[in-house]
Amino acid sequence: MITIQNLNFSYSKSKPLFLQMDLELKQGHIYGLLGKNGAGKSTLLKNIAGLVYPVSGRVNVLGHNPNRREPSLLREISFIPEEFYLPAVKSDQFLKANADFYPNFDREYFDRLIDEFDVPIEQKLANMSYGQKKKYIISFGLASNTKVIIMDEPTNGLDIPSKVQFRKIMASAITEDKCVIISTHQVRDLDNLIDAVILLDDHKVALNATMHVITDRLCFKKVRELPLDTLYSEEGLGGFNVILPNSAAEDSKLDLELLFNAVLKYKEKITNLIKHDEYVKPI
Amino acid sequence: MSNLFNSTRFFGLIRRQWIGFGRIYLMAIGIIAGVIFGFYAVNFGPNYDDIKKNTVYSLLSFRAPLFCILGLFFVTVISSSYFADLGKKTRAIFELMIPASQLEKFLVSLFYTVVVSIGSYLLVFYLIDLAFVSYLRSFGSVVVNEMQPSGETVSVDLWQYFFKVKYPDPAYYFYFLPILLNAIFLLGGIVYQNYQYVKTAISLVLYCVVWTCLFVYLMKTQTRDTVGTMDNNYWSDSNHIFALISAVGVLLTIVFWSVAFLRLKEKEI
Repeated sequence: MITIQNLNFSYSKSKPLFLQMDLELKQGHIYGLLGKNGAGKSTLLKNIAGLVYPVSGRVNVLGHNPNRREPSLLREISFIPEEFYLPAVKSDQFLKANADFYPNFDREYFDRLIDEFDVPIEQKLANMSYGQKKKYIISFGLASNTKVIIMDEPTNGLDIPSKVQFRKIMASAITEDKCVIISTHQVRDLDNLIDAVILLDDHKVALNATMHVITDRLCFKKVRELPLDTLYSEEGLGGFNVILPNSAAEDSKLDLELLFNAVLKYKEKITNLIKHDEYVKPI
Repeated sequence: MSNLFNSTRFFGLIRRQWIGFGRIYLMAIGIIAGVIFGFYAVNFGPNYDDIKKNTVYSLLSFRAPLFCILGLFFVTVISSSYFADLGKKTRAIFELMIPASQLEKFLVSLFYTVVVSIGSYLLVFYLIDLAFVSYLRSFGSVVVNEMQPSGETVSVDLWQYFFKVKYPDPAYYFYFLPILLNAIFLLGGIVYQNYQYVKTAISLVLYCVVWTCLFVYLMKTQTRDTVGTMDNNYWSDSNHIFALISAVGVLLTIVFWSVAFLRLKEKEI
């Protein structure tokens, strides 16, 4: 669905952001895009949406080059940026002006989402609070029923109940023909939501694997004493949070924050244990 | 559905752009109407007694400079502000991601900044003029005899409606000017991230100064120690020179529009 090959990108010649990056995203998944500040999460999303031009390499989205910004591709992409602007008009007027560009826009679904998020649409969009605007734009993006949904820090500005609603709505929004990419630095917000993780580090994709594969290969535990085969550990309340090789095929709940820190610290040790996606080159 | 142009998308985009651009446009045309009205009122008010006696000859002489200066200012402001959103990250993403082709987006920009802005400016100016001049004409008219360059004497009504005034022929060769300025300020609105109007205006002035200096210098070096002769060559007719200026103006307009279109296509956030 989305293929990136040998992508090189930089904002300035002296500081490359991506070097020979390869990545494949498949339909039917919700990807969590993680990385340190400045790792290029937002830039990767912009490359996928065709909002920036790579220095070299190929980006293919649904068979199109996104840089050409063809309407037939744009109507299949919903991009929900971290910072956005909504005009000083009422919801109906906004929908009348924008919804027609998305042939699969579902007004009923939109109304349902607005109800669930409890967004007061009787007022002008510009007068809404940041969180309400965010929920409005998320609802519009999802109701557009596009095949690619790109979200940059979607939970920023959402209160706790809204974050719960967001997770619930996203879980129900994914269908077999859709691909959702959520970039965030608040990994806890992605708990129980994403089913695949992409981790950016050192100008490349350090990890691209489904949650199932990760928990199949690694075991996340809380222990009082560190086992000998510990891959990574962090001291926690009353013991240690550890990552171990899952040699006994145990079921464990993936701790995204722990995994994130582990990959950043011991990249090779961790990622070599995880079965690599065919499009991510082994380190 | 064509990826290049589709009429449904085009008209949909016109409707959509009105939400964002309409507010700026209406504010600008409102201010312009106020300024025009103000000029008429200021010129009419103190001369009220003389108007009644039909003795004010130069009452409407402010119209032509006002029409040109205000019109060009309005067109440049509107053109410069149309793509100003592309300089703001929060707005630019939605503008670029809206499913319409770059050609449609560019054509809609021309629709608003050329067709709508110039059309509405003419309409507003002529309507205000119509109102004031009709009032003026209710007192009678001021007719003077003027000597034409041919030696012929003609009667001229000084209280004519502005749309009826006949200007000298060379004026028609400068019809390209608002369109050329539209192309330049549209490009400036895409290229610069902020203060688009000021930056474009400064760039334009600098270019004009450089070109004027260069042109004067070249002409001086070419004509030094020579004597001017008047013969009947093609360029002796000033209309031919104006026609050349007009042709260069049209060419530059097309060039600036093309560059603006390409910069819009390649715009990055």
